[in-house]
Amino acid sequence: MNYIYIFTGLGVVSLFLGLLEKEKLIKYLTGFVLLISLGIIFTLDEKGSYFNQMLLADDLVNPMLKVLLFLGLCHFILFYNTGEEFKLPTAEYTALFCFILVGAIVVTLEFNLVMLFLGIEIISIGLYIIAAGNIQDEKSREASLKYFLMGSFSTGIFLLGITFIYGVTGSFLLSDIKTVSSGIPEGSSPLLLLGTLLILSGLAFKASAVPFHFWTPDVYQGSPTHVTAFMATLVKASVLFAFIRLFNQAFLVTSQTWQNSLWLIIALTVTLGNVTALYQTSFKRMLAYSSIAHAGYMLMGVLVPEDPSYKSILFYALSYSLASLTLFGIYFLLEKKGKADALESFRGLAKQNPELAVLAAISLSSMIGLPPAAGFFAKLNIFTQAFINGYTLLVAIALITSLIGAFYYLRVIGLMFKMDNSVEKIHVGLPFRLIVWVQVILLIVFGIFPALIQ
Amino acid sequence: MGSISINYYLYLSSILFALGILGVLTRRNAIIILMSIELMLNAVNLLMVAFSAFMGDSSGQIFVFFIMLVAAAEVTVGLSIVVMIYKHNGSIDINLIDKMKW
Repeated sequence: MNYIYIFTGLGVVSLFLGLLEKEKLIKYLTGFVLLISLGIIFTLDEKGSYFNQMLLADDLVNPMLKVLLFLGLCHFILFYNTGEEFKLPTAEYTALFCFILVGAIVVTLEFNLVMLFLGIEIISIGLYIIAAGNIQDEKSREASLKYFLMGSFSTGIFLLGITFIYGVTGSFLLSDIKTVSSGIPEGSSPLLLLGTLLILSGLAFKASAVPFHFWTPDVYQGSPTHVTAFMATLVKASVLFAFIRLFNQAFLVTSQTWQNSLWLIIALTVTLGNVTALYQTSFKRMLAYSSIAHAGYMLMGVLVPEDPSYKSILFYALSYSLASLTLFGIYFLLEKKGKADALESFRGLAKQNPELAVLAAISLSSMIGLPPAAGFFAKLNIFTQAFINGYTLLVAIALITSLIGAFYYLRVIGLMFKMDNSVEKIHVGLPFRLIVWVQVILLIVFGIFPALIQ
Repeated sequence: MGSISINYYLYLSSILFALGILGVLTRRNAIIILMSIELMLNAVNLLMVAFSAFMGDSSGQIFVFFIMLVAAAEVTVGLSIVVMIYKHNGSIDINLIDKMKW
C-alpha cells in the first residue's frame, strides 16, 4: 500500500527533476528507492485493507509484491541506459515506469472491481506511450497505435462485463459479489453469466490468451526491446495475479461456465502459441508467441482452487520472468551491435561471448522446462495440481505442446553454439552482468530448491 | 425513473454498445475508431447509471466518474498517438499501417 504512495511520489519527483535536467540524479534516485522498498518489503509484511476495502493486502499477496518489486529493480538496472539510446527523455520514461509499477501493485492488491479497472488502465495508458518510445522507427509507432486501439476496445468490453455484474449483485466488492452470486442458481441469471464471460475476455486480452492474442506479436515486435521486456514480465505477471484473485475470490461459484470457457482458452492458447512460434524468424516475435504460450500455462493455475494456485502461478511467473528478462537483455545487447531482429543474430554468440551464450542457454532451458532450471518445477507444480483436480485432457495437451515448444528454444541454443568466426565481441557493462548473473543463479537455485519460494 | 423498466435501458445501451463495436470493426479511420470506442464507453456509463438508480446504490454513479476520467486520459494519449502517426505517414488510415502483419 505504501508502495503506491512511494512510486507515485517518485514518478512526480522525477518529472520535476527532469525540468531541472538532472538525468543522472533521477536514475540513481529511482534505483535507490526501488532497492530500499525491496528491502522494506522483505522485512515488513504488508497487511490490512485500504480505501474502504478497495485494496486488500494479505499473506497471499505479499510474495507477489516481492516478485513485482524485484522484477522492477532487475528491469530498471538491465535497461539502465536505454532512455538515451532511444532519445527518450529520461524523466518522462522513469515517471511512466514508476506509474506502471503503481498500476501493477494496484492490480495485485485489488479487492474491488473499480480498483481492478483503474489499475489495468494505469498500466495500459503508460504502456501505450512507451510502446512508441523509439519514435523514429515506423514499427514502434505502429505498435503503439495498434496497442492503443486494441487495448481501449478491450477496456470497453471489460467495462460492460463489470456493469452486468454490478447490475446483478449491486456491488463492486469481490466478497459481496461472491455472497450474492452464490445465492443465484447456476444458469438462472444470463446477465451474471454474460458479465463473467465479458470480464474473462477483457482480462484474457490483457494477459494475451488466445482468441484475444492478435495484438501481442505485433506490439511485442514493434516496441523497443526494453518495453517489450517490461510487458512480457512485470505487466503480464501482475495481470495474472489479478486473474487469480478475481476468479478465485468472486467467481468460483459461477464455476461451471467460466471453468469451461477458461479450459477452452487455455487449450487454444498453449497450442496456438507454441505452434506459431515454431516458424517465426524474428526473435522478438518468437518470444511474443512463447509468452502467449506461457500465459496459457499460468492460466492453468487459475482453474485450481485458491491456495495452491497462488503459489504455483507465483513460481511460474517468477521463473518465466527471470528467464525472459535475461533473454531480452542479451538480445538488447545484440540489437545495440546493429544486428537485425532475427534468430540468425544469435549465430555464433558462444565464440566471442561464451558467458552470454551460457546464460542465454540456461534461460532458454528454463523456458523449455528442463530440470536444472526453475522452469521444470514451475511446470511440474502447475501440471500436477491441474491433474489432481481432474483436468487430465488439459494436462495432456499442455505436455504435448510444451514438447513442441522445446524445438524453437533448442534452435536458438543450437545457433548460439555454431562456430562462426565473423562474430564480433560484445562489451558487457558491470551492472548488466551483475543482474543477469543474479537472475540466472536464482533460476538455478529455485530449480534445485523449489521449496524456497513457499 | 417513473414507469420505464430497467430492460429498456439495457436494450438501449446494448444497441449503442453494438454500434460502437460495429464502428471499431468496420471503419478504417483511426479517429472514427476512437469515436466508436467512446460510444462503447458511454453506453456502459448509461447502463451503469441506470442500474445504480434502480438499485438505489450510489457506488455505480461514482464508478461512472472514474470511467469518464479514464476515458479522457485515454483519449489524450490516443489523439497524440494519432497525431504522431499522421505527422510521419501523412494518413491515419489503419489499412496503410501494415509494416508488420496484423
